[in-house]
Formats: sequence, C-alpha cells, structure tokens
Amino acid sequence: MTALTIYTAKRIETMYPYRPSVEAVAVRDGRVVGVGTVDELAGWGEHTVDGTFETKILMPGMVEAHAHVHAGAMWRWPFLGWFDRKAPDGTLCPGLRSKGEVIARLKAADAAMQDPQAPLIGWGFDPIYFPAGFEFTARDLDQVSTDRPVFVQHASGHVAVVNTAMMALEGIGPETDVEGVLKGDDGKPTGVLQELAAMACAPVAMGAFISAANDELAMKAWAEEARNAGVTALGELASAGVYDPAKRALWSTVVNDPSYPARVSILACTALGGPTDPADAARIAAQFAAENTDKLRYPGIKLVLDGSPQGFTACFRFPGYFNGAPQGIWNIDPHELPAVVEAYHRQGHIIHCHCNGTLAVDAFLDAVEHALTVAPRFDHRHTVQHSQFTQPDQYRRMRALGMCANVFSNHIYFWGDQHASMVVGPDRADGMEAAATVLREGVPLSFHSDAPITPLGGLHSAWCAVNRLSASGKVLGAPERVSVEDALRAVTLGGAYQHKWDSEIGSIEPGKFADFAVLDEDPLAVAPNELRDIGIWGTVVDGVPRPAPGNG
Amino acid sequence: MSLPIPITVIGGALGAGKTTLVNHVLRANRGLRLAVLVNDFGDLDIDAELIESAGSETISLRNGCICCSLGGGLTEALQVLRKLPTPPDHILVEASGVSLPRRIAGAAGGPGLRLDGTLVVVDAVAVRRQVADRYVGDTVGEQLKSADLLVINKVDEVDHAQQDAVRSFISERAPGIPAIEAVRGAVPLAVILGPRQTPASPAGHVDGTGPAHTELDTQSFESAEPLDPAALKDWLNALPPGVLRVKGVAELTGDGPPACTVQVVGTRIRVTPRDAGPTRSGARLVAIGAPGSLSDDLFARLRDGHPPRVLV
Repeated sequence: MTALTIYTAKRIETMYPYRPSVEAVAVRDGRVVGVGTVDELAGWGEHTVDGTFETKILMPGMVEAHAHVHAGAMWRWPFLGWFDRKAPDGTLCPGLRSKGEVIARLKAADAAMQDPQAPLIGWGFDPIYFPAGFEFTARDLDQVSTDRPVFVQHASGHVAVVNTAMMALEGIGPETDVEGVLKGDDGKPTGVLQELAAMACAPVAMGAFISAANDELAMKAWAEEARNAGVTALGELASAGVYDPAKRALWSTVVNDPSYPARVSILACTALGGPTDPADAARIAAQFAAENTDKLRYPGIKLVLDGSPQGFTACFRFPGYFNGAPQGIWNIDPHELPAVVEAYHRQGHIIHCHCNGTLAVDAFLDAVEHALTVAPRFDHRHTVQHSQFTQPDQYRRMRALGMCANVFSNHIYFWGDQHASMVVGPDRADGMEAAATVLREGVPLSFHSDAPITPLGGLHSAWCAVNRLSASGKVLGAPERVSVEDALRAVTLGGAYQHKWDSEIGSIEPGKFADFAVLDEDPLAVAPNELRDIGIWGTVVDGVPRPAPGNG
Repeated sequence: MSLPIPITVIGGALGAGKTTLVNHVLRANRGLRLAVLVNDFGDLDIDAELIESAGSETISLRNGCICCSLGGGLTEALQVLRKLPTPPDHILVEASGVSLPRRIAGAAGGPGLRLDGTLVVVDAVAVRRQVADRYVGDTVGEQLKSADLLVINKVDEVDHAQQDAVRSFISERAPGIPAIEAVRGAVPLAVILGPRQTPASPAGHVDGTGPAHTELDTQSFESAEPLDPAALKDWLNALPPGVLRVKGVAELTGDGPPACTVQVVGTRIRVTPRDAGPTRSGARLVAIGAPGSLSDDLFARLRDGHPPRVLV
C-alpha cells in the first residue's frame, strides 16, 4: 500500500457537509482518504504528518468553468502595459510610463531574438493612460527596428500598431482600402490598425497570435496562472483546437504530465475550425472521450450564439440597448439552433452555449426545449454561459429544463458602470449577473472569469458576486448579492458540476482528488469585501503541493 | 505587382437563395477561375463530373474553380487563396444567414485583395416576415441596408401584387440601393462578376456570359480625351438608380493622378488612382443596368462636363 500523508493546516474549509471545517486531511495516491483531526485520520494506519500548510488555509481547489487557453499565450512576448504585471513564472514586468520606455523594452527584445527576420510582437500597450493627444505610430516603432517587422497590440485587443518594415512585408500602402487602416494627410498609412479587419492586413503577426493561442507554451502558462490563483481545474471553452488530432495529442502529452499543475476539461467548439455539419461535429467530438484521463476530460461542446454587451453585439429582448444600439450579432441563426443543439444533445454532450443577452438566452432555451422534446435525456447539464442579463422567468424555465447557469460575475466590477450608463441602463444593470435569483430559482450556479477577458481567479469572481461593486465603487443590485459560502461553492462544486466532474473534484471529501487551494487567510473569516485580496500560496493537485513562484 | 483579387460578399437571410446563386455562378461561369468560400459544402450542388478533387476543406473543379470551407476563418481562407500558385480571378464569399455583410466586407480587403461589392439576396416570399421576426428581424433589416446591390430572388413564387408589395417594401427598407430580380438565383454573371473587359459593342444587351434568365441593359462611353476628375466624380455621384455596375479606366486631366480605374457596384463607388494611363489614351466606361433601366443619355453629363482640351 502506498504512503498515507496527513496534511495539517491552520484550517481546512472542505465543502463536505459532514465535516465542513477541519484541521487535517489524509491523502493517498493523489486522493483524499478522509478529513477530520489527526487522531481520527491516524485510524487509517501508517502515515506521515506533513506540516507544510501549518500556517495556511486549505479550501477545495477552485474550478474555473469557463476560460480560454490563449490567456497563456502572451507571455512569450514583451509586455508593454502601464501597470506592473507578474508573469506566470513569477517574473515582475514593471509598467511602462513613457514612449521611450516602451521603445527600450522592444529594442531589448529585438536584440535578444536569434532570427533576424522573425516578427517582434508586443502586447498590453495601453495608450489611454498616456496624456491626451498621445500618439504612437509606425514612426515610433521604426526606432525599434527598420528591418525587423514589429507589431504592437493595444491592451483592448482592438487596435495594433505596426512599423514600416511590417507594412512593407505585408503590402500595406496608400492603396490599401480597408476600414481601420488609418492614413495620414499624405495618404500614407500611419501604421495604426483599428479592429480585426485592419489587423488582418498584417497576417504574419496575426498568424503568430493564432498559432501561439493553443501551443504548448500557452497551455503551460495558462495552468501556471491558474495555480497562482488557487485554481486546480480549468474549463477550456473554444480555443483548444481539438478537432485537430495533433492538437489533441499535444493536450494529452502536456496535461497528463504529472508536473502540469491543473486538470483541464475541454469543450470542443467548431467556431475556430472543425466540421461544418453539426451531426459530424457531434459524432467526432463524442469520440474524444476515449482520451479521457484523471487530468484531461472531454465532456461536451461549446456554442457561441451572440456577441458581448460591452461591444454592443449581445442580443437583447425588448427594450434593447440603453444607448439605442442595434439589437446585436448572431453567430448562429436562432432558427437553425434547434437542429444544431439536437445534433449534439443526441450524442450525449453537455452543451455550453455563450448567451450574453436576454434574447440569446431565449433562443438557446427554445433549442434545448426542442431537443428535450424530440430526444428526452436525464442529467444533461446544458449550461447558459455568461448569462449576464438573464431574467427571472428565464431562470424558472432553465430550472424546468434541467439547465445550469455559469454567471460572468466579473463583469459587475469591470464593466458594471458601462452597463448602467450605456448598455442596459441603471435599472437592468442592477439585475445583471443575478446570482441570488439563480439560487432562489434552484438553478445550479457557477462563476467564471472568461480569461483572458478578465483575470483568472475564483476568489475575484466570488468577491464580485458577494459585493457587487463596480470599478467606480458603486453597489449594483444589492438584492442579487450572495453569501460568501454560496459564492465559494459556485467557484468550486458549482464549476465541477457543470463539467460533470463533481464526483471527483470541487470539494475536499473522501474519495475525491486531493486538489486544494492554499490560502494565507480563511475566506469564510475575512470581511467579505477582502475576499479578493487574500494571498494565495499556490495549490495542491493530485496530493502534490504546487507552490506559486517564490513560495517553494 | 498583380492586380488585387476582387471579392464579392453574398449576404442574405437563411433560405433566401445565397447558395443557389453561388451554384448558378459556378454553372454559368465560362473561363474565369472563381473561388467560392462557403459555410457548408453540403448545400453546394456540384455535378460529380465537374469535380477534380474533393478534400475536407476544399473542392477543386475541372474548370479551374475552387470551393473552400469557411470553417477555419475568412481571413485565413482569403490568404490561402491569394497565395495559390495560380490565384483566382474573383472570390465569392457566401455569408451565413445571420452575418452582417458589413462586417464580412470589412475583412475582405487587405493586401492583394479588393472588396468588389456586397450583394444581398432577398427572399421575395419571406422577407417581410423575416424582417418582423423576433430573433433575426433586426439582422435581416440591417442586411438589406448594408447591401451595395440587392438581388430579389424567388420573384416567380409570388404574384404580381405581391411583387409590387415586395418592391415597395425593399425600397422603403433599403432606399437608393439598386435591385435586380431573379428566379432561382439566376442573375447574369456580368452583375455578379462585372462586365467582361471594356465593351466591344457600343450599346444594347450584354451577353450575360452564360445562360442568363434575365437580360441586361448596357451603355458604354468611349472618349479619346482624358476626363476631368471633378466631372467624373459628379457623374458617378448622380448615377440613376437603375445602374447596377460601372467599370472602366480613364486618363485624367489636372494635377492629380494621371489615370484611374472606376468600379461601381450598386452604391459602392471606387475611383482608384493609377500611375500609368490605360494602354489606349482617353477613357472607356461601361454601365450595366436592370432591363429597361438605362436611358440613352446616361453618359451625357459626363460628355458635356468635359469640354475638349484647349491647347495653348
């Protein structure tokens, strides 16, 4: 029999109903054997007591049920943001406060590159923090290099700046007739490319982004960021590229390596490539489950139905956008959606559908109702993803249809003020991310970050749902606040449930994987508004401590 | 550098007949290397004997045409086509039923490519219901407004009174956008791909370069003298509503560029400067319009607006 380790901690919040708060957890073969006191656990026989976490708090490793691997793609390139950022490997990247500093960091990166032809990419540049009238164009980037193509992406992701060498390489010139390719008074492009169509004029750089999005480096950096945030299981919802067998093989190699610090649940998605016929896509994705392991799962699929509220592309019911913007953008025709959903439903997939606006939720619920009518199925766990403005009648319907809600609570903080002033108006903004309604109506709940859209981290998502504070400090919709207990349950068991993984992860209880978040303070004891400030030592995955950089 | 490849975006609601139109173009095409980008091959109705090879992402036809899946993304597909050893002469992009053509058109440019225009196919039977639809009503309405050129399809499936009702509905929803009516997507290729070269015949009917179900009006203009750029601009901005397309080259007077290419697709007017004049000096333009829509004096203003060059 393999060794039994009893980890002791200052406190262990287990989410296991029979021993919710204990001092010790016994682990064998990467799984929890029992929780309680050291004396109780000694009953299992020969063991060693490990006091590594004597001053720490353990809670179940958090489950980020909706994020994207491309969150890990950027760190290979120089970070050019205004604020200090810590890379997943612990390196501190100081914020850059002048044009000269930005150029200097790019020059250093240029000098360090082996291949003189390879393009240099910078990211996170955020000119909104520079003084009014600040301009950053090809002229500035030409100071970095006149030979090497350079491409700098703004933090928003909606704008890029390229140098003259990049324009020459890509054939961007006075005759380029694409909206968003900005030109000076002389008719020549300035190097500023606004929005995707214009950025697509630099396919070399965009291609580098696309191929980096889900490569090995990205997979690893993504899990390191998760570890640093106390997250032990990651849901990958659209960027995994798993209809490509080579990419699936890479996922298997990388995630199943014992040193990889997270479990991953991948939802196949055809939005970025794959079979165009949903029946084919459903059948092929169902075969991925043959590659399931303890660390890597393929439980279902992801659909993307509408756009985003802050981009005014989410699809809303009457009365629509507060600023009068048009209804929104459909990525799938709502009239075709029932057949699409039925195809995946019949193959046994969990269907997670991106629905930001209320009308998109209606369309998805119509489609699920259709699928359940023609092909009744128990315990499907079809999930409304984002569910940002979903109304009480829709949550009642979701309960009746046996569906789940993964609520994008981080929006309250990052865009809540904009939702009140522009997107839906102050009244409906109070009803965004309506977690209390979700619980009251009996719909299984989780919260997510959608990283890289907002920073990965269950404690932050829980903090948003508990406090409902916007970036400007306003409380938006106090009646929709939930308790710390409920919020923590949502970012652990709640996320696990929606990936059909709750029998093995999401709580610290006998039989489950020994996956813990290791915290400096007890989330159930701190003031609720300090939840997001709790220091995170790292995680334990499979019973193995995974310290964040500096905590080893 | 070779000329940029023209791209035509084909939009319209689910069931309007976009794929039917694409099928029609592939069948009627004679001699052009076309590339069509579609969401789903399954709906393309390509005769087996036409197919040279078929993969999961592309189907190559014996006549040099190629059909590609949009599964991997529009930008990527366009770049692949542009870099083919023999790039296509013209690219058709079939948008999904809920795409806003404006968004696709935005991506259909860039190095080596040129957005030719956006055609939106309208379902004469269903359009009024679609525009009122709870889910897609706004989208369909937006599609109509963002067209450069409208194809009102399935006109054979509605009676005369309904045809009139659809025409007035469209002109209300998409004011000023030229429209051509069609049955089973059979639009003359000159409308979709542009007139072949500059015209040989001065006026009359364009040969639809294939079996067309509709005939077209055509008018042409030829001048041995360069054009005054301001007169050209005025003329283009005042084109009568029946004009579906104008194409041509012109030498220009004045201090600006020595010559230009003119491309009009419905409401989309592009005058692109050229460094060198056309091989023959002067100007040559051809206009095509819906049957019976072009008057004989279409070019009169252009002719009048440019007094003979006076040498001093």
